[in-house]
Amino acid sequence: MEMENEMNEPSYWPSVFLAGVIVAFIMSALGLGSGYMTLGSEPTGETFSAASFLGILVCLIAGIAGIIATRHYAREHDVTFPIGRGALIGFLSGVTAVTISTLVGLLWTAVIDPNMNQALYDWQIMNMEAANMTEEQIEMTLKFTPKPGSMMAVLSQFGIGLVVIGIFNLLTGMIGAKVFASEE
Amino acid sequence: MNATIHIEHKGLYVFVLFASMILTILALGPGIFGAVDPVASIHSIQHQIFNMVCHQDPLRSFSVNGGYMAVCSRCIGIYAGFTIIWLGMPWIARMFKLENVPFLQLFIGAIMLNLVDVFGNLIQFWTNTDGSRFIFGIIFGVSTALLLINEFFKQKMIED
Repeated sequence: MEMENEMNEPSYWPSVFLAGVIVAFIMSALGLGSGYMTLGSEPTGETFSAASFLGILVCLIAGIAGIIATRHYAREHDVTFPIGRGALIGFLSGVTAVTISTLVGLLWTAVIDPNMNQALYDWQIMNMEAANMTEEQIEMTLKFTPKPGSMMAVLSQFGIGLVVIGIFNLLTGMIGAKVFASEE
Repeated sequence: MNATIHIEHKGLYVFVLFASMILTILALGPGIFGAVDPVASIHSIQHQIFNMVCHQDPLRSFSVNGGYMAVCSRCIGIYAGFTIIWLGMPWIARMFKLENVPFLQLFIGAIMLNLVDVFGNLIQFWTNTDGSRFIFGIIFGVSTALLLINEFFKQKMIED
């Protein structure tokens, strides 16, 4: 009986995909915008800039995939669902968003602006020099920071994104289920 | 009047508990593992983990053992508030009557409070501090965890 009910439930994948795509494109636009703002500014040695501020918006946007997906799923099918399902929908939306935005970033730096990663890397070094860091400190820092665009950098950013953004959206998915699809 | 509670979605509760505890410990930065050079701390693995979700401005972050935390003062407040309430959920559900508490309104209020604080500081109407940002962050984290408490711990009131 339970299995039959589950089979009759509408699929949540369209909502997951929709939320993932919307959030991924906003994340990509803000991420690239932040990168170009950095390149357009003088390296002053500051670790925080207007470009970093734009980067924060990425985080706020990245966290709402769970809300968008659960709201869309509940409204589209006029259904209620438990918080566990909301968590799953949220987590999957976050994972979808990170995957698509990583692909957009890769495509951008491979086809549209292949020099972007190298320019960002050089800018980072100039910024550290402007902060009066010694050559030793710069070398040590670069040892722990993978070169932007390298396979190591892409994989580590992707892995961290999956876990962190996934967990954030798991939480917002639960909140979405509570607010838009509560069975009470 | 006593309350008996029964837990629902136990696996999800435990998962979120561990995830939030791990994230909070990581957010404290490299300083919790010993003395660190402030400059080196900015490029630590902890900072890389949170660079997608926080501006990490050292001027707006607390430090531990010389090393900057991996998130700003508001974010560490959010993580700490959320984790403490999540950890204490079974006790809170046992001790307090949670029926009819307007948790959603508290949650929306906490969001508005933080937005007003950010905006007021941005237009230089006031200047917020690490302490004020931390407290507002805690309020948001606490209200987020409380919003979900009834989903995990169902209360049944019993007459003495």
